[in-house]
Amino acid sequence: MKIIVSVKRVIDYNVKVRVKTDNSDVDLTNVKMSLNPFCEIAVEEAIRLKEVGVASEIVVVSIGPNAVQEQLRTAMALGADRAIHIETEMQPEPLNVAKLLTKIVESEEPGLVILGKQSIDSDNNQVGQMLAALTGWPQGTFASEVKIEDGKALVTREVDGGLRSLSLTLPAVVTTDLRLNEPRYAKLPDIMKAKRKPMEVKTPADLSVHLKKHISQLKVETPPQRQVGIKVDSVDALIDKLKNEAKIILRKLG
Amino acid sequence: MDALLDAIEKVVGEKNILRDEDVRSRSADWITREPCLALALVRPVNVDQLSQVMALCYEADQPVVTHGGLTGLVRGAVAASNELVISLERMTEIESVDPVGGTLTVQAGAPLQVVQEAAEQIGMQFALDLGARGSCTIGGNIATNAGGIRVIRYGMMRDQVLGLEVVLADGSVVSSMNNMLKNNAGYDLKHMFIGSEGTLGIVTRAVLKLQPQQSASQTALVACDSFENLIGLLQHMRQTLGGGLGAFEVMWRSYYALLTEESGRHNPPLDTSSPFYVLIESLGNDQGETAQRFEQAITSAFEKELLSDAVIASSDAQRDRLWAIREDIEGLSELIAPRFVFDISLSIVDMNTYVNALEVSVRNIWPDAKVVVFGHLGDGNLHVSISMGEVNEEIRIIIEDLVYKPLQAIGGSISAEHGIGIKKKNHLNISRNPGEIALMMKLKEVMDPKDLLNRGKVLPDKTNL
Repeated sequence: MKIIVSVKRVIDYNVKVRVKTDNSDVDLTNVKMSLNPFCEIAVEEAIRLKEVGVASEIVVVSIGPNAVQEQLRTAMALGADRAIHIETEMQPEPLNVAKLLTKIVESEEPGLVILGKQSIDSDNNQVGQMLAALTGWPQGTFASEVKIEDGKALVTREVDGGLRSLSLTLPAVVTTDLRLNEPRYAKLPDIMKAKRKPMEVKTPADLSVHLKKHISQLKVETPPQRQVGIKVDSVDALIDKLKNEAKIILRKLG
Repeated sequence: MDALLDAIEKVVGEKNILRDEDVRSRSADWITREPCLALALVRPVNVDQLSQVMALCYEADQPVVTHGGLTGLVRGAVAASNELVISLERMTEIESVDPVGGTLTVQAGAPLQVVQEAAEQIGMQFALDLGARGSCTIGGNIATNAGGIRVIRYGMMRDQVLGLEVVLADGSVVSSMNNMLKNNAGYDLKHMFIGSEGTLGIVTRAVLKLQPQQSASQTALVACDSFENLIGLLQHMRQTLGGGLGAFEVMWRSYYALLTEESGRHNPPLDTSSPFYVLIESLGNDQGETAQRFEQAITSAFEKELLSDAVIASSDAQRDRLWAIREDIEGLSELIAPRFVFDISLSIVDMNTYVNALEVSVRNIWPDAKVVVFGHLGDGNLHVSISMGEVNEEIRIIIEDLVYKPLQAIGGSISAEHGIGIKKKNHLNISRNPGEIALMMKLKEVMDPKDLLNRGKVLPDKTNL
């Protein structure tokens, strides 16, 4: 079975993000970029499925400018067999991404598509679900466990109430949650080999997809500064502050 | 006694002189966690108060111990029951930051991490970094001339200090708060206090030098199959990174296997079969360029067979996980308690022979003893832990002999960065000759004739000379 993993290049999770002075966007100049943590988990899951013999080939896809090839090479160093770079300078919206991936899926015919549940820059959590709708495939999102048996994907989902188990007929779409696995490190011999693995470059036009912009970002602001706390000298003073400044309603017990 | 404490209370206020349980509940030795036995603990809020307190102590012949972050490793902050502790915990202000001059002025009680963050805010960096960053204070870093993980690139704490303000044994204040890079007017007094471990004066404020930020970092954990290759790797990385080498931390297999596979505390990124593991980090300005140069350096090292395997961190989260293995001193402490800890420096080329000989000599007496080695190899500094199941004075004397004697022969130091404190004072003569020690004692006599400042530390007991 072939597995497609879609990955995104994002600001490194550990970076202290700064907002541009004109509040138009986040400042990306000379900032460390990495594989989106949930996408890393998706790549790891695909590799594990290949290691147990369920998958025969892993194709990793990413959409963006030339720089995303760095993340595709990292994914190949971790174990993906080949990469597809869909080149665009535009920041594609989730629906655009889903449409592009649909075209890839149509030509590659995988048995499984694994994606991160959301990216840590836009936090949309939409692509996996939209892809499933466009392809008409079943979806198992927020997966904390994935097993492939008899042409079905058994997915355990993390939901607010606990864990939910689904059985999906393949081909299917799975999105990863944090506890699915712990990604491995890229080892040097594999990093070197990855340089020679095949990387195909396509444009949205090649895939007959027109990237339409439906959403415009108006403003980006840093969260308001947390106010410094104060110390009070007595219980009466505390009650007074709670009532009159913090506006918390206090009721007598009993 | 009470008269002194009453007088001190008038200076700092009732809330800022602690006694009894409030003092016992603190510990000046984070390894033994023994309670602080001092007769009281005083918390002045600024140099005026501290100076007044010290003057009162001087009048009363009251010995004093200075407290910072209490993360020292040589019992330098331990106080006897007749000693008074002066704690810098209320003097934590960052007073000013100068982005043009590249300096930061701070009170000595400020934690290292706070200073690092303040420098980051103005797009610069404070170039000292060590595992205790969240707790250790600038004053403590100065008093011990701290080292850490960036010494290979930026030098020790001494190299980051431009100026100091110090309270002397008699309470007088010497302000040497120079903020210029170049000032050759007379003797450079600050250097006397840096590394003096609180025995010549109490540091209250400092002017620190900042470096340009190197926001791009690349980290790899590599395995070497021989010491010869390890040395070759160090030279190779120095050369190919062209000044960009930011850390070269080595773990002998004894450390790496213990903290990963044997204890399960960390997942091993590389298998545990190699004799040496190195955490290599490069620092640079441009993300892309730094990454490319680093990958090339590691790849060419691999092609030259200087390293046998490597993982490169692909995100800062992975970087943190690699460092966590190297910095898990708490874990090491737990796993081989009780242990003897040594912080030594010697020529890099002598290290392997020295460690092998040490293992042999220890195992001759205790066949099951653990000898765990790791450290800032690039700086010529190793941390050695020896554990044989128990700790007592008899064993300590034997072990110290086994560790220190061979060092003397090769001109090594019994204390690379941790200082002398109480633990190592009677071995000072191994790394300092009689002429040096005599001059140190003269200096102490001049600066602190009543022997009030951190009594019984650093310099050997006169009877032991």
